[in-house]
Amino acid sequence: MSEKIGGEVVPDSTKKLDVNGEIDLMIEDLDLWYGDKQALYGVSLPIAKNSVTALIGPSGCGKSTLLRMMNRMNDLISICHYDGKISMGDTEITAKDADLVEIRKNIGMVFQRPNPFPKSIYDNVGYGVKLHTKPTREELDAIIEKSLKRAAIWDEVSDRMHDLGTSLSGGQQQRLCIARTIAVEPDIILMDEPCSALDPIATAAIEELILELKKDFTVVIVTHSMSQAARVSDYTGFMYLGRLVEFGETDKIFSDPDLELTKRYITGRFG
Amino acid sequence: MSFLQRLTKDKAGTILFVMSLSVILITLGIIQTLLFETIAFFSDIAEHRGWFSFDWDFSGILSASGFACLLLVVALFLDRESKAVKGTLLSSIPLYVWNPHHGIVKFVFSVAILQLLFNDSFLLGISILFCVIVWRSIGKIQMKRILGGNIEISNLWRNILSLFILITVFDAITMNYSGALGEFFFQNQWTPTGACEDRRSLCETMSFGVNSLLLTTLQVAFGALVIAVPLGVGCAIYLSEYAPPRLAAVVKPTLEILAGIPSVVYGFFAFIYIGPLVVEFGEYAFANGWIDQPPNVLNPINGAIVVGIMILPLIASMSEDALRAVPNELREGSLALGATKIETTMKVMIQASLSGIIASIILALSRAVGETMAVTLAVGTVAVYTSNMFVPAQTMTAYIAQRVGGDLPFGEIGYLTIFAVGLYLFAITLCLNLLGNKVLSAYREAY
Ligand SMILES: Nc1ncnc2c1ncn2[C@@H]1O[C@H](COP(=O)(O)OP(=O)(O)OP(=O)(O)O)[C@@H](O)[C@H]1O
Ligand SMILES: [Mg+2]
Repeated sequence: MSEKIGGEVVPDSTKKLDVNGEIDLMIEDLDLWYGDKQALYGVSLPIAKNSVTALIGPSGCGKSTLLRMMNRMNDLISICHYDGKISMGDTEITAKDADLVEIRKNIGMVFQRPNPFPKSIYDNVGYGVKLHTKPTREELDAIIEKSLKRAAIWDEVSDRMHDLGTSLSGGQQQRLCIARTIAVEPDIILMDEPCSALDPIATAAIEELILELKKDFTVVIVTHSMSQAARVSDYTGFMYLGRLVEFGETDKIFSDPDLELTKRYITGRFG
Repeated sequence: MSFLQRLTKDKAGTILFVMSLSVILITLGIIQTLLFETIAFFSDIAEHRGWFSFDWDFSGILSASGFACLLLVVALFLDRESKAVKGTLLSSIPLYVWNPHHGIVKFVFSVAILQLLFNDSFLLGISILFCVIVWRSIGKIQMKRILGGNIEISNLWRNILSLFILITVFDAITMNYSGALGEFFFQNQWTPTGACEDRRSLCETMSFGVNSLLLTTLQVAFGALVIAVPLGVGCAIYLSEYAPPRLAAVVKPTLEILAGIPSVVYGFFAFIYIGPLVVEFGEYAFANGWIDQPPNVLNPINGAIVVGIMILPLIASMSEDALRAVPNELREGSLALGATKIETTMKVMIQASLSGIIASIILALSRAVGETMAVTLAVGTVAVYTSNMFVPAQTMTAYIAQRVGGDLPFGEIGYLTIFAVGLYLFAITLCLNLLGNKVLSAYREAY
């Protein structure tokens, strides 16, 4: 049941969705429109617990849209509407009356461009914590130190906690944003091209960090770098024109994909 | 090609050049007239008060002005010395003299300010302030000499110092200016007209303490802020963060309509509708003994309310622009942490756009200070110095409007007052505008 668009055969979203172990988040048959324009077509995707799932695909294929659906960030766009179901354990994320605060507390997000608040490093990390709990000063200090350590940036900022977060370098800012996300103890961390604004060294640091993070968190990452997807992820989904056309273990996708299309994209012979 | 040749060759360029030149000349002309007439005003007061006497025995040197002059000369000398290519004399003085503990600088600074406030010698206070500034700048230069780095040499301070030395010398000899300045800036009684036999002379009953007008101006301007800041910023937040696009499309033009209502219309609205309301509160306050005089329809609160409504659109639209300039990523970053909309607005958006909002408030304050027609109609034309905001008073602008609108006694002291008040007003609004624009451009740089 493939569709023809502009003389090209586009496969439907795949139904082969096998993952090992526990499933943390399940997307089922998600359609999404921006106004009249459909951006996602029947996407289903399981996110395995304590693993890294990478979403790859050409620009405009809907990776960010899918990612932003997982914590309902798309609700901020008034023309966006959708159909389908996303669930996390018993909670249905796509429910009309879903508690967005609770969802976003459990599913954190790191953005493409580092976006620290114009507050001190300390307050940047403390901000999210103070939204949800009322920690004492000592507790807060401890949480902040722990988060910064887990984001591998503690050594660089421990003596300048009261400098502005925006005064850090790009790579440091991104790790600060990761620390900020970790501090509220989410289950899942969504990352939308977290390294695209960074240099190779900062990128390497973040990639190492992601591998470290998956011990405690489930990570979903959108990336344009094939090598990055191959290095950090356990599962890879390849998206094309709003469909998730192939999904599987990263080794399998990168060595022996089912579709010719996937192979062409991964090897860089595309378009 | 010479400048003139170029002018004749490029016709369009020449016309545009003449246009901009005339704008500059007009500006300079206005400022020059203000300055000259103001100087004439101060000399007039001084002369009529009988202070104008050349005492060539130089007893004035022993006065406060003489001391001020001495301080300035020392400061000038040190300033020159510090900027000399080889700071021979100063380099023998240890650095800590120039970079003392901040407490000391603050102490001297407060002495200077106190001196300005409680002593009539305006010049002495100013010279102490200058000395502190020169002291600090020498500190910076000496530090850079030792640590290396660019030494920027500006002659600004030298020129200002030299100018003030001339003024103090003149003052020390004639003993007049600082008295006249002191009366103008530090006294609170404003009775610029009096029934004198000789129209040229000043009677004892006349007094030129501009603080009376200034106080009312500030009461109205800050009172206006009390109304306009919460409403304007609230409106801006609503428009940029909450309002559905269609509603925003209605509210925004409404603000523009509000901004388009002529000032004089606001004025009589204040007189007819707001004044009586304020009087009712005033009656209550008077009955309870909180104020010592019965309220009147014309009063500063009335003016504050109406000016507040007038500057509201400015604050709302500029603050909205500031909020919209904050990158969407910050908003999303906060929401993605599980913050609610109001938490995001209050804890992230306002902080991120704070300098833009402050700039809008400063510029609105400047507009409120300069507002004339509405306050003349709403506040009244009686110059009083009182904290009771329910009785008629007079702002600086209203004074000028009233003076010019009545029979203007050319050449007399009453005529000169409008220039002095005008220059003072101009200085205040100019400073506010410069400050506001500076904050604003810093904000634009940040995003
Ligand atoms: N706010 C929006 N309004 C309307 N259309 C949008 C909006 N955001 C995305 N789209 C459309 O949805 C489609 C998918 O966009 P999306 O941002 O998810 O792509 P992407 O895969 O993340 O691309 P990239 O790799 O360039 O980031 C695109 O065709 C885009 O034009
Ligand atoms: Mg994207």
